[in-house]
Amino acid sequence: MNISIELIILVLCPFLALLSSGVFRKLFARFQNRKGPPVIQPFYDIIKLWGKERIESDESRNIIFYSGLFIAIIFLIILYLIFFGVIKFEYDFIVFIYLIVSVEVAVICSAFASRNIFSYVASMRELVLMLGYELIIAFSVINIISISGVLSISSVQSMIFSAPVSIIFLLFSGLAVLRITPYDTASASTEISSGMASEFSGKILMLYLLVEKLKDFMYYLLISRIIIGWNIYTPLILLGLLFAYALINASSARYNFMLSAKKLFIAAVLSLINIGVIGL
Amino acid sequence: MHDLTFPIGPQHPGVKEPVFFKIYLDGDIISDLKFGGGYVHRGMEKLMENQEVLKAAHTAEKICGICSYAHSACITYAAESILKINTSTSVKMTRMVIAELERIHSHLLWMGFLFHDIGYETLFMYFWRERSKIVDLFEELTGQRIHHAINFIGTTKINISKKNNVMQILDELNEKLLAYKKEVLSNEVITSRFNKKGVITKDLAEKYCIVGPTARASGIDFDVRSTGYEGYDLIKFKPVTGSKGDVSERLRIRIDEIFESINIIKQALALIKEPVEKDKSTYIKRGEGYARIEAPRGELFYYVSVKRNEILRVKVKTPTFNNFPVLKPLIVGSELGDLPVIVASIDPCIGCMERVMIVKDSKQKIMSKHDFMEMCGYEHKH
Repeated sequence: MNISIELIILVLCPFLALLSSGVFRKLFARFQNRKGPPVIQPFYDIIKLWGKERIESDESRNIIFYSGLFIAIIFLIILYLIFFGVIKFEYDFIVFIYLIVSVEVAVICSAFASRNIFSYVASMRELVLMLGYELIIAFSVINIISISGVLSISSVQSMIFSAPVSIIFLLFSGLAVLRITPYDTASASTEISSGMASEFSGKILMLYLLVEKLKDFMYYLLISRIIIGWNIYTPLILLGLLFAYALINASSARYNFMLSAKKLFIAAVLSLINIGVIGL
Repeated sequence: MHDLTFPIGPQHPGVKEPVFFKIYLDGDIISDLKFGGGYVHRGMEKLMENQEVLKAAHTAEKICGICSYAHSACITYAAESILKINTSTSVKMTRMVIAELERIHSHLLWMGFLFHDIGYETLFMYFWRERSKIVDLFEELTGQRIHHAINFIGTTKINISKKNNVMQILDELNEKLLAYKKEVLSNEVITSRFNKKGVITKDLAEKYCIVGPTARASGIDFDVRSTGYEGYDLIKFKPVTGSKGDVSERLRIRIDEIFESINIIKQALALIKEPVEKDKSTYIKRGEGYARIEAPRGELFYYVSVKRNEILRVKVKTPTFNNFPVLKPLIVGSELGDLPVIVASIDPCIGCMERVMIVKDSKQKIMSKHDFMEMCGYEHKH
């Protein structure tokens, strides 16, 4: 694809991320036989939160609470620049994986620093689950690097036939990354209320939502690039992923925390075996 | 020493009613908990005093927004027991149809909440879609969706005819519920959340005097409808019982009770031969009466004392009053994520139950505001 088109897409990414979230919600609602919100509802949410008052407790007013989300945004911008090849260097694939982890860690630090009990429990859950799903992502990416010999993410071509098992593992870990049932225990509202977002309000909450949507969209982009490369069919793959994840979200209940962590760890071990034994 | 103290309620997505749980966590395991209540105490018994019996029956409906008809029916039966009125078969069967429809509506609503608690939003929507059809049917039959206000002493104000298509709606529900039952009792994720969770053994159920479907899931074969009150002796009916006593069993019992209710309604409709007489001119000079019925959540008891057709005293005992205390032994030792499921599984109705009286060392104690605050875990600030 032409580099100028890639740059236009890069600029449009925040809008596309919000739009993908709206499409996901619409699909999810239709699976439940509901009308659902309009596709541009996430834009309305962001605009509304921009104008809302910030209410915080005295305990949560500290530098980590405020800076965590800004650091996450900076990491996300670097992630997108690497993904679209604006920043390109050898082994950027490895840096890319580190940055995905760093975004999540920055958000967790901010939630921890809020000293809210719900944020605290949600952050602990997210950290434990992260140990599982980030290992799956890392092992799958290592396998893809070893098969293709490509060390830069912007140069990855379609791996659907050469590394199908790794792609399945990436799709599976997507359930935890995107907080899709049955692996959405870190955001289980009936157990831990608003979870990590409990103490965020106003513009800070807006920033949190933006970080979450951008992170999710980046994961969709990563999987679609590994499945089919970067070409004209990418939007179709993105829509297919949204459809599949919305369907799974609508057709499954939630595992409890211990069981979901256990299953993710088992999957991480299996993805490690995949590197050494199967190699697909 | 506990790792964390975790508050749940009185407003929390995990508990649908205003009740407070102060939870002590060791890791993800609940090591202890305290209850708090008093958030929806409305003084309903006091409100009914000095009201005319008929008006009190309509006030009683406001105690609960889900089993409203059960309250109205129970206080009416209690008042009828003073006059020893034997109502006609048509009246009995009309009341039975409404009571069983309410049971179906209550169970469907409960199932929706239960699946919402484990993140299965789709089943929540589907069960509530079925429930809304029953509520629409209520509107067609009684003119009201929730608070029906159909009972007079000795009669009702509605007639159910074949034009109402009650059985057509229930046959459709029966068909859909069979499919849902297959899904919910075999789905791997659902069974991992429900099986062997919140187990109430038969001994524990007897010790805590558990009632209703919660007791029947633990192997206690008792249903007030078996005593044959208000025409249930004319109906072929078998209480649904289980033995495992876990959340999964309570779910199965309630699904099967819906099938049983559909069967009861079918028989009751066949026994309505003539329209009910709407004679409202009943006057109770003086007397005391009581009644107990099988409300959707279990045994509901009403005591009434009447003088010059006005209520002197009413005492209500709702099923949640029996079922609620068992939550502590069930929750302690379970995971944090299981708490909403276990609480929901006994189908608590805090609005019904909010008339707390503490009996300690054989002395009755009425709780003050400060006592409530202490119980809720708040320190009193002067």
